Amino acid sequence: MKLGWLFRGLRTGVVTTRYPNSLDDELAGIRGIPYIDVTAGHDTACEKTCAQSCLSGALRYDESSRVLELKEEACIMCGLCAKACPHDAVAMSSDVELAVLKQRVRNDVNRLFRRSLHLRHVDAGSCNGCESEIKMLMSPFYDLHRLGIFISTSPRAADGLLITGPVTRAMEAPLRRTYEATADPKLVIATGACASTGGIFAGGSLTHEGAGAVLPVDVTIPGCPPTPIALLHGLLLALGRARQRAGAR
Amino acid sequence: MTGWLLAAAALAYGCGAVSAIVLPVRATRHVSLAFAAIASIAAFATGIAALFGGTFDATFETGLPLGPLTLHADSFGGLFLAIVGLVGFAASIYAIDYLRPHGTHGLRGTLAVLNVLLLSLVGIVFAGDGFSFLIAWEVMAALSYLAVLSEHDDREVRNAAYLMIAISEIGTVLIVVAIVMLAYAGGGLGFDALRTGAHMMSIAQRDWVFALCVLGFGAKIGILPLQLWLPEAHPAAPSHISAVLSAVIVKMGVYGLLRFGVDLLGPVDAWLGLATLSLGALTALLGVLYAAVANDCKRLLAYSTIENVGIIVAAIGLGVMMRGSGLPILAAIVLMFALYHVLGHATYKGLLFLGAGAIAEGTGTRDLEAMGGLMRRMPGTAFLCLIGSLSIAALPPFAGFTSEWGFLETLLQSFPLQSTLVKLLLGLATAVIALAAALAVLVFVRFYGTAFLAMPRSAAAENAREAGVSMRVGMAVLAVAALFLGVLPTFVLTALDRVTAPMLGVSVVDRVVPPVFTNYPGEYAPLVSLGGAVFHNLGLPVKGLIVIPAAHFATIGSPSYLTIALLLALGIVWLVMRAIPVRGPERTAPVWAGGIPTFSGRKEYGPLAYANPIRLIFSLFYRSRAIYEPLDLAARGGASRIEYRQEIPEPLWRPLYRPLVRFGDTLTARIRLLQSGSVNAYVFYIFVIVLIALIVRAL
Amino acid sequence: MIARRAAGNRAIVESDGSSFHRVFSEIANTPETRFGDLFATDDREDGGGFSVHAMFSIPTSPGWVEIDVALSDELPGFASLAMTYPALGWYEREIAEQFGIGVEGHPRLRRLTLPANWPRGYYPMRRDRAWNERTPFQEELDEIPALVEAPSGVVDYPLGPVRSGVVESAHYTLRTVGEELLDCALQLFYKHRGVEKRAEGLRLEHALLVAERVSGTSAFNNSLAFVRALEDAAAVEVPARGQWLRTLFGELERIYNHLSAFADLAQATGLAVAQAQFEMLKEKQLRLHGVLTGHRYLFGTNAIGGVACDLSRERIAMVRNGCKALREWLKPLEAMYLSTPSHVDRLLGTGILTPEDARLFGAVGPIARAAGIDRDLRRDHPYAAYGEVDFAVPLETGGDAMARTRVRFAEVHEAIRVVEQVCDGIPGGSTCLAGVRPSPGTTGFGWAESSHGETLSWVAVAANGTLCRYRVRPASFANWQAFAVAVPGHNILTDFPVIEQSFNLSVAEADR
Repeated sequence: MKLGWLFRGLRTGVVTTRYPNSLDDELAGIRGIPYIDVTAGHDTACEKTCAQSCLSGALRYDESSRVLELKEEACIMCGLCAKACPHDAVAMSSDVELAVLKQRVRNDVNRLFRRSLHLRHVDAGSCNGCESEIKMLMSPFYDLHRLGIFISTSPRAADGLLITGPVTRAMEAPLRRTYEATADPKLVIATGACASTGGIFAGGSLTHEGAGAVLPVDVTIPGCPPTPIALLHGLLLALGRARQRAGAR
Repeated sequence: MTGWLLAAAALAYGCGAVSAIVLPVRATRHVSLAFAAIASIAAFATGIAALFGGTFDATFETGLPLGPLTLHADSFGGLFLAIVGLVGFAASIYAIDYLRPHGTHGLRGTLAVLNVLLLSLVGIVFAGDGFSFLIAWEVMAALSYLAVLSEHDDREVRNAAYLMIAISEIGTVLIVVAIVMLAYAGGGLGFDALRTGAHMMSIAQRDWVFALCVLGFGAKIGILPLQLWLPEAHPAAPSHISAVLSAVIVKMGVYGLLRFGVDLLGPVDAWLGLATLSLGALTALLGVLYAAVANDCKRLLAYSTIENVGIIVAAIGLGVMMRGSGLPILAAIVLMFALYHVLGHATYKGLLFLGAGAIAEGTGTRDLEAMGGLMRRMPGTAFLCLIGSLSIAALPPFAGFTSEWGFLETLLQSFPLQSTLVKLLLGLATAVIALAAALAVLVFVRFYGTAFLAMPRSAAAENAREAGVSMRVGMAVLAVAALFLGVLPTFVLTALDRVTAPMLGVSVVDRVVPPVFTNYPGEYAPLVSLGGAVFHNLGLPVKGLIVIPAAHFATIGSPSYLTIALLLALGIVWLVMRAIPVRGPERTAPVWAGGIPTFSGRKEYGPLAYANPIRLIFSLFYRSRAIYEPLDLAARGGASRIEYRQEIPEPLWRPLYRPLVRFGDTLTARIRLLQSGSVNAYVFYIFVIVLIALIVRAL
Repeated sequence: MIARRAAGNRAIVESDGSSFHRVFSEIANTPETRFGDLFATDDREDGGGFSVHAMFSIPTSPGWVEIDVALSDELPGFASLAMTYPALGWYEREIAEQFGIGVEGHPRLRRLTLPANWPRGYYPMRRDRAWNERTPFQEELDEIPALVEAPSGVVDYPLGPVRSGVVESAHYTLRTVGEELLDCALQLFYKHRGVEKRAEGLRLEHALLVAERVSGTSAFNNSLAFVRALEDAAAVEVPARGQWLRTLFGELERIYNHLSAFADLAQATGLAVAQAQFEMLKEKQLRLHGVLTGHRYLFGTNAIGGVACDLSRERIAMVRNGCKALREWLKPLEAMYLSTPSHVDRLLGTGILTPEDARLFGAVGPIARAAGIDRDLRRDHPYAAYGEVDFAVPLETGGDAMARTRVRFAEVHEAIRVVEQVCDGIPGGSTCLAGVRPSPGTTGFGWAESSHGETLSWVAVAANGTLCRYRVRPASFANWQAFAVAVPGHNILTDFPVIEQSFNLSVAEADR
């Protein structure tokens, strides 16, 4: 019986993605952040319906400076803005590698963790979508371990935290305790729109505005949920092995 | 020299007893115990002197019909007297602080009994004839009964003491029969007469005497099937008495068995030795299995005593078997290790019982379930009990290791024997002993871990107080002795040879402790250059530090060198750690428990939970039942009250003891019919007896 | 006073507080009736007081009965039913602490959904409380409430909320005596985000976004129940093609969730290759979803009035080929999975949920079907196009982990069959009605059979067209109570992960 599984595995062959070297069809069809064509009637006839249709506050129109801002971290990629715009000025791209470096990671930390990073995952109130994507990271298609990144079993053995969810009030204290239980130096990576900014649950009486409201966050990875490719990009960004592609902070 | 020391010891014990009764109550404790301590030192010195050659004989004419009372001090008796002195000293010092909260109620009696008890033990080991031995034996039995009864208000204590003396008397009856058989054949009660008597008996009769000795002394030692009293009586006594009971009085049974069954009796059939070995092995297994599930700390130690005496009796059985098969060298080696185990057990079991007394007093409870975290609150006691636990778990380089290792090694030396069946049975016995030894490690990990480590599981444990100074000093004395026995086994083995050589006629010290330090020619010459050059002719009382527990070159080991190596290794590690610079600030953080706010003692495994897998694995053996009832159906899921308890019946209670007790009850009920109270009936009985006597006389 | 009326897809019985017990028991004791949901609404702004609503499914038309109980607005309260119907325990506690409605006679009225430092007397679901009100923190009391004192020797082994894998946060106190599990106390609601409150006052499209994110892995079916409730309130019929596409996506969601369950269970028993194989199959499904709808977890696929995206003929062929490939892969995997001794030994007899307990605690979905409860909303109360395709509902009676696994495998096969039938028989036409707007003041009820079981949704539309009450009762909320009673029994500590993964419940759903 054991041999049956062995042969099954061998017959399946290698299916691992070649990311970050190249991408095949891992992102085929996936909705990414919206691209806004600012020339198409923005100043004159634009009623800013896109900003009104954004529930998570990613698209915002600043009256004073008359600028339409897209905060990628909060975008849940629902596509309502694209549907709402009467001028077809908004279209959904397939851009998902949106991780943002919130604070410069110290050089020595970078060197320490560059080739070997152990993260402790904390679910601070997610909808389980982010957890599912993180679990997919460890599947043969993405194989997180080949990049030297592991999910550790205890914060004591971890180099950092991987946080999902907007940090509900009930999970605030356990999250803090997990942070205290991890030895310095450590990284904090907030995964998903909820952990980055609170997502559509930001500012509730039962939720915080993401992990950044409770702990110092090093990297945020937007998405709802962020696809495994987006997660890989964010993790490599934290290790200094990838470049940030999201807008300037 | 020996005589003077002996007289000093006897005098001091006497003074101790007298001062306990005569002095005002407030001073008795210190004075009487001081006398007991001084007497014990003298007794220890006497024993050592006798061990190293200072024999001594004395005769006291008393006008009693069975002859004068003789004292005969030889190396064998000296060894056991040294044990009495050592443990007596430790117990006396310990009792100074231990008895302080006892109050004055019954204090005089306790102290006097202690002194006279120890004196009676002197009488047992140095008795020179059967009569004096039996007198001292009975005095010891009576006094140990009184000693256990210190808390006689408690009904359970009274029952335990009664059980102890009842079974002790059964054993005494058997011993008396054995001695009478020997005396009848030899024509006298002196040891020389008994020896000639044994010589003149047929081998079948010797077998009977040996069996009677095993069972008779076994009642005092606590082997199957007469072990029922031990787990009741040893915990019931106050802790310093428990230590004396377990460490010394049980060994008096071993002394008696060795003296009458091995020394005086001479060779017996090998199969009897095998039977004794099996009995000892089963006792050991039973003891350790029940120790594994005991939740009362002193009960655990009592069952552990059963395990250890099982090992001792098994070793004696093996020695007898080897002697009966014509292998005196192996027999001497086995007996040497049996005596080693006696020594070791006396020290570390005494230490552990004193320690159990300390934690029972510090927390106010004997229940292991309510302890935990005592290492922080009772650091001295914790450290000393650690030495005791490591020793009894037989981990090198501590005391129990050499004796158990040596015994297991000699068990495996069965190839010179002829019969395949015997070798098979020896193999089985080895497996059982090895299992018992392994389970002993579990028992003491459980004992030490649940009592001292982790977090306190009750308010009593949280507020535990450290034991008094004298208690810790008493324990430290035994700890030092245990460490000595562990780290310097070759010194001890060289001394033990003085006991086994006259008993069995061969000196095996050269085989067991190879002469690496001297220029001894022969097979060890290459080893001499390794170590001998350094210690050559240093005048140490040993020939080397290596132990070879077999007749032929089988395995070698050296706890002494191991200790040196361990200390070196630890030292190097410590130095290296000091040399490496620490990178970054240090931070203390609470225990990680999944993000919950606090981690309390309630959330840790206690003794019941730790032992549950053992209980499940051996459930057929224990015949235990776990009763689990979830009450309150509607609010299940953590809200319900559950009822859970485990019932583990006493070993052999149902198959053996209960039928016996019932039989005894019905028998005595029938006999009581004779006590009708009618004078006519009694006159009739007298008439019948006189008639029978006349008829017998006429025949 | 009891009045009856019909509304959309259910019959409504109006009662007052004093007759509530009688009416409830009457309906509950009718054979073939199944309890659905118990929740409260705050109608004080619309001129009423507080109301408690109970949903039942009945075998006869219209299929659902709703009991509406009007309570006073000053000191609302009703007598607890939890002593007679243990399944109601959590529902009543939630009503009490979210609305401040008194429940007399509840055996264990303690904090359930709200965090430990929540201020006393602050009832978040009342309409006068805003979603984003910053409440004052209170000193944290008993974050883990003390349990009934355990007998001596029994250990309260704490597990969570932060555990050792990539799992959801929940706290379990396992009452164990050295390996043997005696009891399990659950502490969920660490992940309570206040989803129902979030949806209040939102535009319907935004509320749909919230409904999808109740549980990311049941996004389609939970949002399906929601939009069907709105369609019921608006009394519209979704076009046929939209119904058939809903069936297709509902089954696709079921397939990948069950594959994920097999992978998780293999992880719990250490069968690493099986875990990798099923994870690969799941990833292939997720990529298929991405191609079909633009989102791997089918977010944004449901719309009010139908389905937001259509499938071209090529796409339908792609789905059909995918089904064939999946079936090929599954055949040998399933055979090996169900016969590997090291794996199967840990499933047999583990975590038995007896049929009686399943009924008593209101279990739904595959775990109930594994315990002998023959119920499936797709067959018993057909929606979307389920009435027009042929599929079987598997049933096992063992109630152990093996039975649950077998049920899931059978469901995967049936799901593939349904998807193939949809690919073959899907009609043309539009997929979505435009401009569906329920009238202000209407209420609606919708349901769906997600991969975890029945998910029920009840909505009320406010005067200005936004949502004024969103009630979702996902399947896991009902099933967690059954989980706690499946853990004791003849299980040992190392069986716990197997039981947990064989149940494969969602904490996010239950906590909302």
